[in-house]
Amino acid sequence: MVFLLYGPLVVLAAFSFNDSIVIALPFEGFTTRWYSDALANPLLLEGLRNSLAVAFVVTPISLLLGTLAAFAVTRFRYRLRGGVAGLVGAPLVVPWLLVGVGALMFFNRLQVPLSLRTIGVMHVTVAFPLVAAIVGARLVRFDRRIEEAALDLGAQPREVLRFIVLPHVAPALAASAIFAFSYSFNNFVISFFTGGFELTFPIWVFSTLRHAQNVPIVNAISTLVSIVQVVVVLVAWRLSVGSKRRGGGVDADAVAGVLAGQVR
Amino acid sequence: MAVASARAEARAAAKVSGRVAAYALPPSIWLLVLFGGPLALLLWMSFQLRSITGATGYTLDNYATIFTDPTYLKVMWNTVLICTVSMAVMLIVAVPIAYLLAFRVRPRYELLLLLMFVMAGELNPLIRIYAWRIMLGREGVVNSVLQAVGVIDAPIDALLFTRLSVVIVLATTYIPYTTIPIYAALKAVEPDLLEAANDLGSRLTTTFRKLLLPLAAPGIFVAIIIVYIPMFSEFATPALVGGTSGYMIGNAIQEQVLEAGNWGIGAAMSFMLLTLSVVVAFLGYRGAKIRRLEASS
Amino acid sequence: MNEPAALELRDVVKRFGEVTAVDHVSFTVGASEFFSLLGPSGCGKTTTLRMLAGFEIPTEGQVLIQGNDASRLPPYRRDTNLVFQSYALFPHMTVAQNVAFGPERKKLSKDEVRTRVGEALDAVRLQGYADRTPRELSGGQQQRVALARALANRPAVLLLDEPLGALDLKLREEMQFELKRIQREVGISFVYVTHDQGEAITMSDRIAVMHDGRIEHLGTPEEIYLRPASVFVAGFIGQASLIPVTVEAREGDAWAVMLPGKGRATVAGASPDTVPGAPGVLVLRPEHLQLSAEGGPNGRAGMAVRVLEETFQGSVVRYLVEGPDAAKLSVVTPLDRRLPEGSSQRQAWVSWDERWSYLLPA
Repeated sequence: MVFLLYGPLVVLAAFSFNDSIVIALPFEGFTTRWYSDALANPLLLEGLRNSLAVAFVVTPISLLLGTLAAFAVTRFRYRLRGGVAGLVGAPLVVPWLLVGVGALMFFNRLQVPLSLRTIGVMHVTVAFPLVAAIVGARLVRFDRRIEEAALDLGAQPREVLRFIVLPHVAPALAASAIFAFSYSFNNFVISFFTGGFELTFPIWVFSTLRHAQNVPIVNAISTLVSIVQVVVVLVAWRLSVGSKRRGGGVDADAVAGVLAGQVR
Repeated sequence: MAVASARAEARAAAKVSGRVAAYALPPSIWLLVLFGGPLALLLWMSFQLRSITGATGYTLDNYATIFTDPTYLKVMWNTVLICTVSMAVMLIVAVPIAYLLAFRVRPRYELLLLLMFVMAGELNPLIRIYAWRIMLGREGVVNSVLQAVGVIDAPIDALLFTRLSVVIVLATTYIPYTTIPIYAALKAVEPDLLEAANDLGSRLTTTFRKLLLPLAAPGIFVAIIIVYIPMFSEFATPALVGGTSGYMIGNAIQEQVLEAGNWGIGAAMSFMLLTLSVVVAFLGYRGAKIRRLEASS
Repeated sequence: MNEPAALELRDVVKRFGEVTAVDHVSFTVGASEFFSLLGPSGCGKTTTLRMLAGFEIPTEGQVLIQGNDASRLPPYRRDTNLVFQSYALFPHMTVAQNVAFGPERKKLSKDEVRTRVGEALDAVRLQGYADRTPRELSGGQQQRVALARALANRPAVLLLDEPLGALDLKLREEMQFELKRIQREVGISFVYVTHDQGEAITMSDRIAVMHDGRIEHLGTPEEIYLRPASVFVAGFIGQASLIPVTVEAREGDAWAVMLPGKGRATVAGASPDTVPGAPGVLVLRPEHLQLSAEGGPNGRAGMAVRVLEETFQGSVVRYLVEGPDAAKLSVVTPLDRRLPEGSSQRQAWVSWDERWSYLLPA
């Protein structure tokens, strides 16, 4: 099954070095010209730039909202808690296509022009619930008596947050940051509907492939991007496993939450 | 004395609800506006007459159309067909794999494989779809290899731009999410049970049928919940590898909304899918809860 | 001249809805005193401790720390520190960082903080462990870090919530001596909560025995052991052999009672609530009872019994005997004075020195 999952990508990567405009066997020769072509293509670069820019803005906002939501749902008891939890969990359940279509109509109705901003705003909307799930899973496993100990030793409530609670959720925050960034960067469906004429990297790939059969520079840039993403996930894994020494660690719930979110 | 304490407790309670609001309000308001808003608008729009002619007004025609017009019915049937076949294929493959992963693989590799699943999900979906498109074409790797090995004489055209290609890509995309819940359910089984069955003389197939499948059932249940309905709204995959025969609801929605300007119909189809998703998710949530209660009793 | 007590509770009540967890509790803890709150689960001792620490606010009554009303102060403004049953060490900090946490919150200078950490670790004998993390420590070591962390703040009173509960027997006994030593060396008052009466008796200067939210007996370990204030206290502390009797009359400082089986006895000490003519309970400790195979009055108080069970316990033999009116008594005898072989199910005679008996109303 690993073959099924990664085989096609290996093939794609292999062809990115193929010295032929036709993506078919046999191999014609080794070349890196697709890579230089790709990195010189202005539309492609614009798409990459936009995707990165949006992702860099979306990630901190999602972290903030997601952490607030996680705190709201796990650390207090109040009547509306179930409602808040349901509300925050809802975007994880609704297919993105529907959110995208709805958002398009929504912005149109409010006469908000479609732009990178509308893309970003909707990315945050679907990303921060995932952050909330991951951070929440970590918060729930927090022993409140440690907080009591901190209070008893003279720490005021905000010092407790700063010195005790936040360090505890730090690994979850790091993991969420990476997932939120990927969510935004890889997002196609929502960007497609709410971006108007703006170009992001996935949208560029889609348009290019819609109109042409197989394009070698797509191979090249895809290989590059995939390598970066694999490296990033590995780094994230290392980070979260490394913090085991300080009482951190990868939660099964976090992984499950991530996987559930990825399906959307 | 008691009054003073009651007042102190009331003051503390007020401080707490202030804090709760500070945490809960921003995300809630954001979602109510930017998530609830669009979805509410979908609902409203689905009852609107919207077309290129510019006519407006309330109507039930949209829903009538999508449920009676043969074109739409065909598309919906196509979608159901593709998704159901994909789901079936995935389940058939996922159960044995989940079994192997849960019982026959060493712990070190288990973690590694889980990691590989997570990573597969992080890859850009469009890249994945494109990679398959390369593989399945006339001159693609699959055809070339099959010809070279001698299984076929001429390239199979039907590998690309057909329903089959959509099924292949969908299945390979969603297989990790199908396998994981089943794996999780099987992990909860004590290996002693299998040994006991063996000891009592049961052959592998019987064990499988009578013991493993029922135990894996909750996992299968969850897998269907998290995978089946999302597949219905797939749009990029059929657009890129489906050709004309692999046309699904997602494509129809996109076409109606972005190209034909028929927002009413697009919204009606979307809202129908939305309702389906919510109902299935709700049932799944209940089902999972009930099973958890059963498991603990 | 009268220095305020380190800690004082005045008529404290704590209610949770309909339930009264702490019912009019008052006591004082002096400077450098080892004070224990002892009782079974649910008696209110932990709730009381939490009110001292500031995690609960009394419904009625006052908590005074060194003479100042601290009843409604939050935990971080009180001059008390709590050692948790689960230790509650900060997992992401080293031992030294854990211990330094309190002094740092007080905004002490870096040098002062370092001194305090050093002193605290010295006191608990963990000098070389400053850079370890909690995960790398054993249960007993974590226990001592929790203690050091509290001591570093030099509180007026140190509160301990069943700190030895998670340790195995041998370690627990060691730690009991350690804690006592530390308390004496450092000189801070300890308020120690436990359900283990042996522990309380070993370590405390004074004990408050709690039951159903009230203090049933407040006194020194010896007082509580030899002259318990109620039947509950008598049964809770150590082993008790209780004989139902009828109180007859007072004879000077002593009392006369009628034993089951119509014998008579004198009792040297009695509870002030004793009433002549009423039923009473005679409290004796098993080690103060003597058994002899040939029965008969021998100048001491005693009665006829039947030996039911004999259990060898290493240094002693424990007998379960049954007296008239089916009163069951536990007798502990050193090995050199055990009954001859085959005494089970036979008649015997149990006797005691009246100075070791105590009388309570029934």
